[in-house]
Amino acid sequence: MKSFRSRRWTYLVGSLLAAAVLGVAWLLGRTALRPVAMYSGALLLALVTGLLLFNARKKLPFLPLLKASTWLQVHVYAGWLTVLVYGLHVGFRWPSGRLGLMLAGLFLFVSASGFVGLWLSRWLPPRLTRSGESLIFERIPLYRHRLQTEAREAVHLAATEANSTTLQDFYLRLLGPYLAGKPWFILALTGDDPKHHRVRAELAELRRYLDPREVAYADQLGDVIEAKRGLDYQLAGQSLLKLWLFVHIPLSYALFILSLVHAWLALRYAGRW
Amino acid sequence: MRRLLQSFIHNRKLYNRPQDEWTCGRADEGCPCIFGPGSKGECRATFQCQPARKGDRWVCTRQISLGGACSAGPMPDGKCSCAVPPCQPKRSLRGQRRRLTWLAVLAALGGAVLILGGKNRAEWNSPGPITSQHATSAQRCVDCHTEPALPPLTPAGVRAHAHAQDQKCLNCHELGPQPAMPHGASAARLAELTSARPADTTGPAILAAARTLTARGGSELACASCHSEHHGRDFDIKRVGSRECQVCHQQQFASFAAGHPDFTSYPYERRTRMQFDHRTHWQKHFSDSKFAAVAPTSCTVCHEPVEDGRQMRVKGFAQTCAPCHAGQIAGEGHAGDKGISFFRLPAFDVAALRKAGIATGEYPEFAEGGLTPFMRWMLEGDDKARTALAALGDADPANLAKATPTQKAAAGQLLWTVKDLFADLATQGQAVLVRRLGGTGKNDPEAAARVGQLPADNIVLAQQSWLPGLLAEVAAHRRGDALPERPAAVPVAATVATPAAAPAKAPASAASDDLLLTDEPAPSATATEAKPATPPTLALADAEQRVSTGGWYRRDETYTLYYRPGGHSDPFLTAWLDTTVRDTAPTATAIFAQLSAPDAIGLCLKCHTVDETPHGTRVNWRTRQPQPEKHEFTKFKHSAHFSLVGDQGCMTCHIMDGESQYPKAFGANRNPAIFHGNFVPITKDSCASCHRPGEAGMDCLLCHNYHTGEWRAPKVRAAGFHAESVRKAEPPAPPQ
Amino acid sequence: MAKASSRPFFGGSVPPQARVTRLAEPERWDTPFSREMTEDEVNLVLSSALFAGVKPERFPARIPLRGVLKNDARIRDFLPGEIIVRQGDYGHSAFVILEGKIRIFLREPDGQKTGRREAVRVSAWGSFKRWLNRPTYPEEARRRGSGGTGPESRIFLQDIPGVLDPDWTVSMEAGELFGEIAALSRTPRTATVVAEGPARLLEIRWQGLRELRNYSPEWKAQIDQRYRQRSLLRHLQETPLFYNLDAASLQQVADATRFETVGEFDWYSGHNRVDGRAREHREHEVMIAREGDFPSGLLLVRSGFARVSRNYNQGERTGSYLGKGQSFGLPELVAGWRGGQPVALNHNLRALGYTDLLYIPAAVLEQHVLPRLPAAELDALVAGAVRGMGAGPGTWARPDEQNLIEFVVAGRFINGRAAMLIDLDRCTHCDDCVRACAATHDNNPRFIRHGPETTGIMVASACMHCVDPVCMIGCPTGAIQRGVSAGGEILINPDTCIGCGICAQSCPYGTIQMVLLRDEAGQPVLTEETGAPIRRATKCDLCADQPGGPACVNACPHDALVRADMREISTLADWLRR
Repeated sequence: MKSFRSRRWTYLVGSLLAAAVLGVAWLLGRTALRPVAMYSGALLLALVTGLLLFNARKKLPFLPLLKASTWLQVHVYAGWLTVLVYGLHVGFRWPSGRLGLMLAGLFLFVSASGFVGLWLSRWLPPRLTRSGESLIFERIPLYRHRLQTEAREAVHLAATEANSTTLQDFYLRLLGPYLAGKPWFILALTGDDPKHHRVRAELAELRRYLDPREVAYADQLGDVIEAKRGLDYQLAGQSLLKLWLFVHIPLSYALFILSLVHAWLALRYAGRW
Repeated sequence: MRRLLQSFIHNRKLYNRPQDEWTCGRADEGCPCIFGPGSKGECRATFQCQPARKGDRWVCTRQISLGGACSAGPMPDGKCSCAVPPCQPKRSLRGQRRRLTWLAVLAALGGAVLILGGKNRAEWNSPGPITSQHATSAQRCVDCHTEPALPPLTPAGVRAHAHAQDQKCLNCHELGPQPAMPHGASAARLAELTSARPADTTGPAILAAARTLTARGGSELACASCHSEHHGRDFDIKRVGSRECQVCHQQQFASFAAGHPDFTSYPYERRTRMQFDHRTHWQKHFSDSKFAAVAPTSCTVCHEPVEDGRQMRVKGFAQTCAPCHAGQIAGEGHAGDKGISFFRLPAFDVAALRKAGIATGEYPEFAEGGLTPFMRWMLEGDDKARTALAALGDADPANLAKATPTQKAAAGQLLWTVKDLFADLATQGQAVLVRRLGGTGKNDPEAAARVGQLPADNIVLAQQSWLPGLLAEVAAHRRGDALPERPAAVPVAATVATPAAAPAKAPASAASDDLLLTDEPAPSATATEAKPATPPTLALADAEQRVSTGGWYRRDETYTLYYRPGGHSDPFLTAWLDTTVRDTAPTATAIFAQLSAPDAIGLCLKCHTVDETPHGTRVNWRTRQPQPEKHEFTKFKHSAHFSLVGDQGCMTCHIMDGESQYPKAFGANRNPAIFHGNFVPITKDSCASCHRPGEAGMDCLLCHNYHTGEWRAPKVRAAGFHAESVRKAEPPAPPQ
Repeated sequence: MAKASSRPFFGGSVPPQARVTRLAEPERWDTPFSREMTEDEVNLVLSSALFAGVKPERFPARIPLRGVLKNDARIRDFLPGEIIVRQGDYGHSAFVILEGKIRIFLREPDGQKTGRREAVRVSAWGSFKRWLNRPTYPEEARRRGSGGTGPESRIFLQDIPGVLDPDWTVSMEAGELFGEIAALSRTPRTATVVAEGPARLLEIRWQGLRELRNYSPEWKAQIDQRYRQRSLLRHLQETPLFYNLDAASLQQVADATRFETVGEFDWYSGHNRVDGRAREHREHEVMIAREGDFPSGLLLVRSGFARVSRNYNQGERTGSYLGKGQSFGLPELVAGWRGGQPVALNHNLRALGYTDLLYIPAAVLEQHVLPRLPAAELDALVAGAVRGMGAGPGTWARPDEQNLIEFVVAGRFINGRAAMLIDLDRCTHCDDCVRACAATHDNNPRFIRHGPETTGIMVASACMHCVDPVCMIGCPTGAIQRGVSAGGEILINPDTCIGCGICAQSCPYGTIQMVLLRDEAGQPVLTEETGAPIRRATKCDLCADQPGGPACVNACPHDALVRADMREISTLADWLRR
């Protein structure tokens, strides 16, 4: 079985070679006063189209085209190349026209989001795995709901058995809101969610008001709190893994359409090919 | 130990359907309804199961994934007891993303429509502001662009399109006959240049490689190849790197110091237009103590940069040569006549003619000298004279002793043509002169200059004192009558004998002549005899002296009219030199020889040189002058280098050549290409010492023009930006 | 073991739920095996020798003998040289010879002679069209096809005389039964059978065979006896150890061999629907051979699985597991035989659920088998014995695989031939696999991207297409069956599935989901008589009909998903170690 390292090397070397070839060709073309802008533009359009096709292939998985993983690899490395080609195309200058600026902005966002996404999808999964069981994203609200009900019941039972309102008050004041809410994802990922710490600490403090029967429920609540924390971590991580696409995909379509417009204008007005 | 949030009893669960647009609103509470939302996102909740009839009773058919049969069981009427409360279906994550994507696509499409067809599409289509020079246009795309409905895609169409685009540029920028060709040179010229140099592959590899990409030789280049617009107001649109320049070239090199062809004789391509030996002047004359007052102390005394600071022009004659040489031109220090003998009664062997029975009429026996070249020129305008001259052959009209009868007859005829000419001059003055000098008519400035404003009275006075009866004789001769026989010598001899008398009354007679001229000139002569002796009066200075600032004078003893040049750039001399320099007729060459002789009157061609080039032969009256229309391949800006020269001054670069055979290139030689410079040619090193990457730079375009040829500066009128607008705007709006 | 008794090995009685919903007769008879079966033919069959002793009154009223023969059997005529069954194919039926002679190949003739069939796959365009008009609602029912299996394409064996080498073929006469092993034990056909002359056979699908066996002692006795003999001989012939034995000595070995079944019968019932990690299985696993004992003979696994382990402080560390055809104790025996004094076993052997074993006494082995083995092989075995390795071909787990193999064995994933493994360190939860599955299955996913995990690896709950597919036990209509392709995927025929849910209950891994069928309006489809919604058993079909193979694997952008054959634990480890 081909190891990831060797695959990475092959793709890396391949794309570096391609980049070198492109750079030299561009330099030669520039020197020979060929219309390199036209050539690089055409190449750029072709590359963007190819990168877009990845999405189409995802929608038609049954077609015996290459495996999606191969597509992704090509997508990633071709993405790097595209950035280079774009740089050559605009001559590493910030464009001055309105349309050019729009395209530049879109390109910036699309490529940046792409690379962020790449990093996320390589960096997050192992951490999500280590954080505990891997949950299905759609079910996360359900589990939160379960935790809430469990906590509610536990608190209720505790109140009825020991007819003391300690845990109830605690639930109303802190635990309920904590279980219902979700922390900002950075906090959830770094694991220092102040709410969580507060709830845990206060629960520990609470023990001095509890009688043995309540303590059992308090322990259960402790478990619930820990579970909620894991839940938040999963939620944060997985939503990050999904949300970067909300930038990447819509903008890439817009970029494609506008670059078609740009190509049309260029072909009409350019003084030479 | 950590608690697990989920169990693995999978067949108690439903499949997850992340691909669906909608999800049940109750999924979060863990009780999604089995039907799920409709395709439009409407809730379709009813019951958890559809009870089935088993014989007479109903059984719950709730599926395993919902926990199997419920404890309550169906209602008696077969309704399910656990109804699913309706929910508000939620868009799934996928659904939201799909919607966002569609929004983006629609927005982009809308933008595209606005950009391509919107009201202010010009702003949107513009890829950026144009340079300030071009900003004077009406700022419409069509000013500089052709706007085809569809972009050309066939190679031919592309070429045509590019050509049309270039025409837009050329509407304003005139670049010679073949503007799109490299350096504006013709294909033939390019081929010639290419073959002239051997291909040199020692240059940088990139250039050699790039060269393979370029079309060979005489292929046209679009303007946009080098000049790209829309990069901002201050973008240097002319900027082209040295590498780009070299791609086509046979010899390619990395730097100016290494590889650039050496200078051969730069900047000297021809001899100087003035024969001025810097060496002799600088070393002999200027250092001579007696010229200390006027001798120049530095180059800038005679040389000054022109406005654009490129060329060093030689200052005018007055500031440069005049202090020493002005007088010489007027003739001071010149031995012999200071005037040019223009009209003269030539000597004839009158006695021999009379003996041969040829009528001569009155003619001085003591006339000397032959025809002046100028007279010969004038006589050649008349057929009789020409035939006579031809018939005369080598016989000397002044001594016809051994001449054949025909030659004598010819001499006689010649004599009469001379009299004719004289008579015409006397009677009609300059008009005749102009005609005789080959002038075309009234306004012929050259011919007029050749006349040199010869005063008509001068001729009349000459005629009266030399051949008083001329007019009557010529009239009779023209009628064919016999001529009155009169001795002509006596009065002349008398005047000569008593020089004091003749001049004394000449003015008087001259004064009265105006009135008496036509009817009878005789009395004046008789009057002279009437009173032989008169008391001595003021003496006249020599005629030559009396026209010291130039003009006409005559000498009766030699029967000659002289012209004395007045000083530098004398119109009479320049006119005659210009006329005769390119005329190969013997007479003309004779005149030119006379005027251009080293000791000639005026000394014009002592300094002024004659160029004989394919374009013609001309006298260089002026030093080299700036030619803004001419775009040389190499350019140099003197003023930019003034601050750099050391204490050597100009000598830093212009080093005087001690051994130069400067004068050798002049005299007989008329080819400007043959020359010996006064200065050592400038070497590449002296430039390369500063023109290095770090310092003064070494871009090709620093010293070279790409576009070479002759044309005017671009017309900068907004209306002139493109032909259409000119035609459209009737009349073209004047710039406010 | 109440459950064990309620489910005898062969067939097993029809489960209670199914019987409740039953009306007059089994619903599978709605789509009989063959519609051409006439009453006369049934009489003809009944008159044959095999059915002479069968008493119809033994059969319950709702499953009469005639009914069985009419609906679960068909008569097929074969021409000389025509292939009846082919080795390796998954068959669901047994054959009774009515007339003529047939030949059984003890060795598989080469492929182009038998003309092996390829799996039927639709074209890419076909699946694209299918995707284009995919239903809007989940589980929307497509139009049901005609029930029953169509006429099969006939394949002939070329140049019979050349192929029918008497050494490698066994002839069978009229009145004999064959093919029942494959039909009942859900194993591939063990041999290729061709018609020697014109032959007329009765083909009984395994449901019918099950009924016959249940209600006719003669059949039961005959089947079991044949089963032992045939499978034994066959098994010995298939075992590499005995390849270079001639027929005589092989027969002697066979005679000496003892046939044993160890452990609880339905291994999966103990495992059924419980968290693999939650319960420890050791107490259910009967010890077969103990580490440190001296082997008295060689153990061959006939069917089922056995765990090979070594004592490790208080527990046992699993090294590998034995499947069908693998042997235990050979190295030790060889070492003992070579060295002169007996060598103790290096491992424990425990039965995972039930295990069918063949016991070959050491004496027979030393007399017939060992002398004929090549020296090199023996040396290797001895070396293995000395190093304490070599419990069958399954190599001893490396320390870093220990966890994995324990997990695999404890979770019984050893059964899987195409288990869906997800590398959690690479999985980004993008659900592309799920959507790919839905796109290839009428917009319905056929697995749940979730399941038991161990360090960084998860076994998602997708059908593993088991070696021993227990889900097929008890399907009243045979709707769930092996695909005919060599891959042998377990497929559910939606046309014959009646939604009884038995397979979903039986699947130890819970990968079969019962879904409600919808109509075009999205409303559940109800049966006419009871008004109960029609259910359908659904599960992963490994995209058997798709051109690209499993869509989930192809769709994973991060190389996180694989369909692994759990029998190659080492390749699995390699995959994890990429």
